[in-house]
Amino acid sequence: MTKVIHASSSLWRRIRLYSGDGRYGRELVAALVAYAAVLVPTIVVVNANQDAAWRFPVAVLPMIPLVFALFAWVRFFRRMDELQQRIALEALAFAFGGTALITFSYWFLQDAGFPDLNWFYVWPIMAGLWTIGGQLAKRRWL
Amino acid sequence: MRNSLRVLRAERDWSQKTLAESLAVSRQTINAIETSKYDPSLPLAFKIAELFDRPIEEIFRPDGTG
Repeated sequence: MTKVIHASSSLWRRIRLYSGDGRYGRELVAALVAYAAVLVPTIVVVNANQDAAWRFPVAVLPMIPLVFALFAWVRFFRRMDELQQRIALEALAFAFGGTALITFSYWFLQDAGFPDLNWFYVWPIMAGLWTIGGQLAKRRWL
Repeated sequence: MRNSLRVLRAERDWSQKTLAESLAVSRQTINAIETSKYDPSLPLAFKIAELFDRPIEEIFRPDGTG
């Protein structure tokens, strides 16, 4: 949960960067509130039924509200002006390629004996690189 | 490309924010166009020309021409 809140605050900084009419912020907050509302009972139910076969579909239920966050995110991109879209695209391209470099590097290191890491780390890496990519793109265009 | 957006805006005593709102873009985008860091798309360039009631080639010129 703390990880999710941390990731959300990084996202929030991004939102303010391209601050539009606040519609995206409202849509995102609504999706995150719904996510939190589904998450808590899901954890309780899954933990109490560790042997039930149906725990797997239940475990991913909190992702449903996040699908709305994804669509809000896409709509937010569409509302950006052309230069903002270009900066965002360069930032995403940097994050996409950079994440590949880092995860592939870690894969080799893991082969050499580094400890296994949780998949969850991939997205914070991408978000961090996105922030750096955004700063680099802004230096070029703004 | 070079452009005379800053001059045209100053003639009308508009702020970057005012122009940005008229064109539905951000103030930073107007600044990037004025400082020639960013060349606008053709639709945005036409929108600018229409707003200032000037032919597009009078506002935007390729580098190295008068």
